[in-house]
Amino acid sequence: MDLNAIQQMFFQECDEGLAGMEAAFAILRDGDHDAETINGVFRCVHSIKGGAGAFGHERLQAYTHHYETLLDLIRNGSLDLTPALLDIVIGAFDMLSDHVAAARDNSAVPADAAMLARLEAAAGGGSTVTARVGPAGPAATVSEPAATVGDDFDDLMAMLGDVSPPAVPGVEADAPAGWKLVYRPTANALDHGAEPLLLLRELAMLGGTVVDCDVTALPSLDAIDPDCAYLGWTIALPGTASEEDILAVFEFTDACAIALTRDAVATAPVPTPTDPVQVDAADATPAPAADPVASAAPPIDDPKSAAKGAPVPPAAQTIRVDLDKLDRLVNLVGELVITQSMLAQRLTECQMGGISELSDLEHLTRDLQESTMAIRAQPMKTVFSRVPRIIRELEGEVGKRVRLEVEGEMTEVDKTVVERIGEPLTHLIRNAVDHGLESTEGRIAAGKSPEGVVRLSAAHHSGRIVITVSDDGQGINRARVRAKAIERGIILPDAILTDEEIDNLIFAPGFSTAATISNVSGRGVGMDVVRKNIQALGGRISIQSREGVGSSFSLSLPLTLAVLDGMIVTIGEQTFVIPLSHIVESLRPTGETLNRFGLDGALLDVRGAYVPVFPLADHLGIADAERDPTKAVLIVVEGDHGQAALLVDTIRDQRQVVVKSLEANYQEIDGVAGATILGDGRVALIVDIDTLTARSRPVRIPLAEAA
Amino acid sequence: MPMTLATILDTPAAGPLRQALKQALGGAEPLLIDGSGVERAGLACLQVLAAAGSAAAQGGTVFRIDPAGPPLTAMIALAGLDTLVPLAGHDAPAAATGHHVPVTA
Repeated sequence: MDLNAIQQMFFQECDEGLAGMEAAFAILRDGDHDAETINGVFRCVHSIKGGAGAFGHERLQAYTHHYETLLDLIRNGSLDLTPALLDIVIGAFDMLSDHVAAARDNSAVPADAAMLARLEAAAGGGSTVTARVGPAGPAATVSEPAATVGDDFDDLMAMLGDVSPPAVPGVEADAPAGWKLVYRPTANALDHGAEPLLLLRELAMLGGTVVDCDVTALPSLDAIDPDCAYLGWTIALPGTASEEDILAVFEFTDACAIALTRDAVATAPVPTPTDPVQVDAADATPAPAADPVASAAPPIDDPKSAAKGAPVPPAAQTIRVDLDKLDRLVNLVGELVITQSMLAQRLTECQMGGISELSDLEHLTRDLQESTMAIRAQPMKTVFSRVPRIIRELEGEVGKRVRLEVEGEMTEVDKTVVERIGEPLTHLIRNAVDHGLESTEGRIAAGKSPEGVVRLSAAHHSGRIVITVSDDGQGINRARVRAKAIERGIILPDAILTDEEIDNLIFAPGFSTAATISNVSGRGVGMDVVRKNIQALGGRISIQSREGVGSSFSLSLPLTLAVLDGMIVTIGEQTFVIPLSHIVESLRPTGETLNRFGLDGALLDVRGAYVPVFPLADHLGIADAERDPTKAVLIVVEGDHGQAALLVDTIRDQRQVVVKSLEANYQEIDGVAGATILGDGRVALIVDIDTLTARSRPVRIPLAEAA
Repeated sequence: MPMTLATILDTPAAGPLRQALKQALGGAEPLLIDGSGVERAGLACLQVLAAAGSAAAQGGTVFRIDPAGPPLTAMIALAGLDTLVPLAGHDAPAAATGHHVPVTA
């Protein structure tokens, strides 16, 4: 695994840590916490700090150091976690998120001077905060230009110069015995820009000093390979440094062998696999022969204390798998599903469709498919954990007090959905706070709590995930929405609309009722884009609103995009799949329900509403298809641009199909969303409803033989 | 023979540094290296300098980084190589008779 991959892993762990911290803050805010809650936050920050140091992200490391110092004072009881202090801790968390993002994107480091000052003040003075880094603390750090920050060690000298020389390990009578660490990078430790000296620097910051540099493996100048690492070090660390901290330095490298022992006796034994701590991260270079290390450390009275630090291998509950490998598995399972379907069809043709083995295979295949898709599933927590910060920022921007209630954050959904739901969800949250909730004064006047409530929930429902964003605000002012829609020319002044239809006007492009345009919302773009994004995920959005009580936006999404429920239809000799999520109803029309539209078009009367008839054959270039709606089937679908009645020859089946990308396997085709392979081995194209219905608007529909 | 080190002594700089040191160590003249302009130095270059220092000691050639500059001095000290890579004010270690020399900081 190269350095970039390991660094990528570090940032993934940062994200997970930050999400965990956000959850911990929610608990802390509720006052329902114990010592472990703040311990967990501390550990997250500590872990980020360790990785930041290993990868040379100096500013991130310096910032986490100060943050960690404050958290340490809270967890050891030196500071009471008052609401004011919690605000600082949470504010510092937001800044930490920015720092992590800056390190990941190699972008400008956030201006953290003010926050560092707050952390320092909260910690009760600069001496505590700067104790370990000395003058490289806040003042020095914040004055450094952002341009010097990167994956190198530009600031190394400054920080190195400030590392206080550690006390000689073990000279204090009651101090714990010092540590002896043998660190030997493997020959390939310099690959991909890795720099073992950064780790030495980390150890120096823990108070470590190199007592021996082993150059026995260093070849002559003629023979040396400049890209190989040859040196190894024996480092003395003070006994006060925790084993966890020392090992954390090596958390993100596997290109080294390390052996950590309590420096209990003057003559340390050669590190062996039975030593208290022995980590052989790689075997490219043999561990160095241990030289006798002179040490003034007293012998350990209690041998158990030496063994106490023995690492307990963590329970292997999770593993990280490259996403490409997972996608390959998903793809193979998709192929298996198709093959199983083809086998079933072939056996049915041979009158063997009822055999129990086939039924077993079908069950197993479906179980395998569901299990595989479950691997790709991620909890909505990944998305939800970002919401508290959005709310905090909005509170500051719009001057409202908001309480966020989250439910069902562990509900799982496919990774693709998780990745793409963030933007529309953020917009709905911003909309709820900016438009939905009244001002604090308004709420008091309405007899409500001054603090508005925004609820975010996720739940599985009928094989789909339903995400709801609701607020206890003023609800949709339908009179105002209607007036605005008339003003914008979206509806005619005399249009008769139901409450639901009026509510849905807010999804019209260019619609906005915000009295003033703010940074938050009100620019007239957004809700239409939200709906478009949701529909692109195969989902639907609906509104429930009661004036004065609040609004609720429900998003119903498929659990995965790799399979979809579709209606299998034929048009001429061809077979197509229409996504079930778009289908409203299907019917065989009579002459009375069809009305001529212009010269060659027709409208279907669906209980008083007129829907344009849309012969798919004309738009897909199929010659021998049925053109007479009374002899065909009309499938009423709901697309981006309203409803349309698709004219097809017959409905053959309704089933779940495995979606294959047409772009990846062939090329993009307008009006076709993808393809699938049917049980008979034939390829069926999946109709892109939104693109096709968009065409149905400006184009007159030919209807050659309509009654 | 004077020689000046590059500003950035990262891993890619180690190969050219090795070549330059091999050429410079060809003669019997003392090799004084100007390291005052070094801003960054990584393990790869320090190893090459250590190997050169060892070769110089073996051949009885004077080898010294003079002047060194704080960044390079700090990195050499961090790596525990201040004996094998002599800095201004120090001569090559008398005890260094070959390149397989254990170094104690």
